[in-house]
Amino acid sequence: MATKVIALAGNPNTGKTSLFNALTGSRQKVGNWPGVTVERKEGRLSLDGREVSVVDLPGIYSVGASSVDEQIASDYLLAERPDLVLVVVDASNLERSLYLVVQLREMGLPLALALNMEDVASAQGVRIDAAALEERLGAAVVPTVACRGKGVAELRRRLPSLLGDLPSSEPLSVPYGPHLSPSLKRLSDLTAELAPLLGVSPELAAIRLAEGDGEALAALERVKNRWMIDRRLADERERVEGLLGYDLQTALIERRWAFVSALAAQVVRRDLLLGGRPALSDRIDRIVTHRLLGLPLFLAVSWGLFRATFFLGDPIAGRLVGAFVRFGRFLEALLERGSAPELLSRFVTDGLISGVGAVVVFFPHIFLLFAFIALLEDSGYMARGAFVMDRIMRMLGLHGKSFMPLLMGFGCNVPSIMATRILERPRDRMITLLILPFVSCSARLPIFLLFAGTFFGARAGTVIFSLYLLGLVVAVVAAKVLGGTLFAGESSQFVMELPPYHRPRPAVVLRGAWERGSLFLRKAGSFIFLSVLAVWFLASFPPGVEYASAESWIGRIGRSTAGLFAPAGFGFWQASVALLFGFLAKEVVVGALGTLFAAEGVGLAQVLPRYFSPLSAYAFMVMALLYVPCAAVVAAFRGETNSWKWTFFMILYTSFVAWTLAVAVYQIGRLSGIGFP
Amino acid sequence: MFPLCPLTAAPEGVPLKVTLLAGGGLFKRRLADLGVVPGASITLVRAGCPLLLALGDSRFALGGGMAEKIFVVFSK
Repeated sequence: MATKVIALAGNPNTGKTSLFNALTGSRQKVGNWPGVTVERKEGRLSLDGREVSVVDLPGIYSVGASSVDEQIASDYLLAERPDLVLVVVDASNLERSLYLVVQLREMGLPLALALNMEDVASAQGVRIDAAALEERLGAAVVPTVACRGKGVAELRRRLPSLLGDLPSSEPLSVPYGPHLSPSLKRLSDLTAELAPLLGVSPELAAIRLAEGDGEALAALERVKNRWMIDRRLADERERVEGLLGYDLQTALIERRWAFVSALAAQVVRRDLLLGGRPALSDRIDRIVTHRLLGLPLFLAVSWGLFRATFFLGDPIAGRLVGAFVRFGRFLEALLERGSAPELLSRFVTDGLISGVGAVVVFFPHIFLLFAFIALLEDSGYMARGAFVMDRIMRMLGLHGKSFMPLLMGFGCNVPSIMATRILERPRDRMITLLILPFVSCSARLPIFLLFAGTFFGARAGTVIFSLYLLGLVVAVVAAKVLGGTLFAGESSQFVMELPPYHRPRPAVVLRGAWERGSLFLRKAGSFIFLSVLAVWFLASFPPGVEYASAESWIGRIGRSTAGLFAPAGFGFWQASVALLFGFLAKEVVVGALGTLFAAEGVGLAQVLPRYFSPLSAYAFMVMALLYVPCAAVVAAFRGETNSWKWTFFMILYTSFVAWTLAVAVYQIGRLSGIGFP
Repeated sequence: MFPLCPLTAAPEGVPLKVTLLAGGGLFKRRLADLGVVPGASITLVRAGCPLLLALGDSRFALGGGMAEKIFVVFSK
């Protein structure tokens, strides 16, 4: 027997992800950013010893095709026909959630409702008659508080019978009223051929045509009586417009809302003393969305969190470095005593300790940064940030929602590339995707810390800040140029729900930080480990060469490419080899330099000044900041754009921009006598 | 009572009624899915660009290009 499938659907910010976690025990990020669940997530649930598959759909407001998320969800629901659609509805805002529920019931999908955030609703004096709702919708209704696991046991108890082999429920028929019903009836007389193409009844096919549903209109191309339908549709549109003063599509959706409102009114009891959405949430919004205060406040919060990341992260990282050094010495002594072959002991000290160690120590920073971002998301403030940033982002030719991926890019470009899915228009998405690699991710920080610390001493902080700023300026210019050339046109309209504030839950914040942070560690564990291994291997062979010498394989690669970087002031093979391996992961540049210069017998801080001047060190940092992002980002970019053409374009144009600016920095610095060549 | 006006010209904090969505299919669809349909009661929480809209217990941020195509009247 095939495994039964439950699809989890619902509006953004209804706690869908929390319920998914509570049901499947899966570890996943929960946030307040509308539409954070953009990937398809699947989990397993055991019901009375039977395995059931749970699919988490993107958060949507309606079934249709007005965004990528909606497209994913409706395609899935219509094509895959899950055995049960579990709709997570926000009990504190039932009417809004019910629109989707009614739409799904119209489609005749087998439905169950998780009446979530029941605690928030009660606190606001909202009482919902679950039994009445259940009866009117013809779908099971279970109150839950998913983030605290309340009601989940009851839900699990009822799921087996809901998944039983019952005949699928009759589609709900929404009364479209005396003005629209005749039109819909006349349309449905013609949709017998169209309906099976959409996998729906002729009545529903008529509704979807009238609604202007993209998929229904596209399917129209494939039916024989297309011209008849087209003409009927035009007639009915004209009739309704004349009757109501607005078009058929709007009229239909308006009627559905009227039905939803009436339904909500029947099952919701409000305690007027407690009255609705918390007034505090609106009062906070008065301040944080203030015309003058909003933006500085948001920038101050972002800056504060960014600073706190380093203030708290540095001492922890310092301890980790100490521990790693001690561990390295311990291993070295152990290997000497065990008279291990020289190759092995060199591999451990030169390869493993200097390479992986240099990476793991940045985990505290990354963990903290992600914790702060999760804090902003979970409290609801992140959505306000996008609101106040919209005007500025728009001036840059971007969308308010682009700010979020860009901010996340400072942590790691990989999740931020995923986050661009919140942008609905392909144009906005492509521009954001293409400028993201210029945002300095935390993996580039080790490079800056090393070079700025070595060459600029007390002014290292300012130098690093200037690099972050340079990345942003390049991103802005690139957005402007791309927006005016390859992607000419208006940025898409901005619509976003602002969820009510709530106190951030430490468990959610820590879990979010841990998941993203450990992703970095796993990358450091496997990806970076492999690349360090490769560096060591290429540096040790062919057999007999001095380790990391110019005669080694890596040295030969480096020597043949070094000339390219001479105009930027670092035309020696070690630099180009380090950059080459930075493609595997940017933080590897530091590890690779450590390995490549290990032969000189002193620490990097002593070696680097023999090769770099402060000016060429800065040019090198500019290069490292802007050139091709790491392989993981390239892979994510390819996954999101689904195009090798754009992926190669991105690789080439970032390389070109990086090289040009690195050369410009060095040459201008040299000619104006700023540097010490 | 003021006459029909776009949301961008409406006053803050006053109950408004949506009367007309003057835009293309996708524009109307996106708004309608959120409940912004003719007859819906809304309040402008924060004017400007983007503006902040209250609809029942929900709050939406809306770009200026969209807001200027939503026509409202003062309700009651």
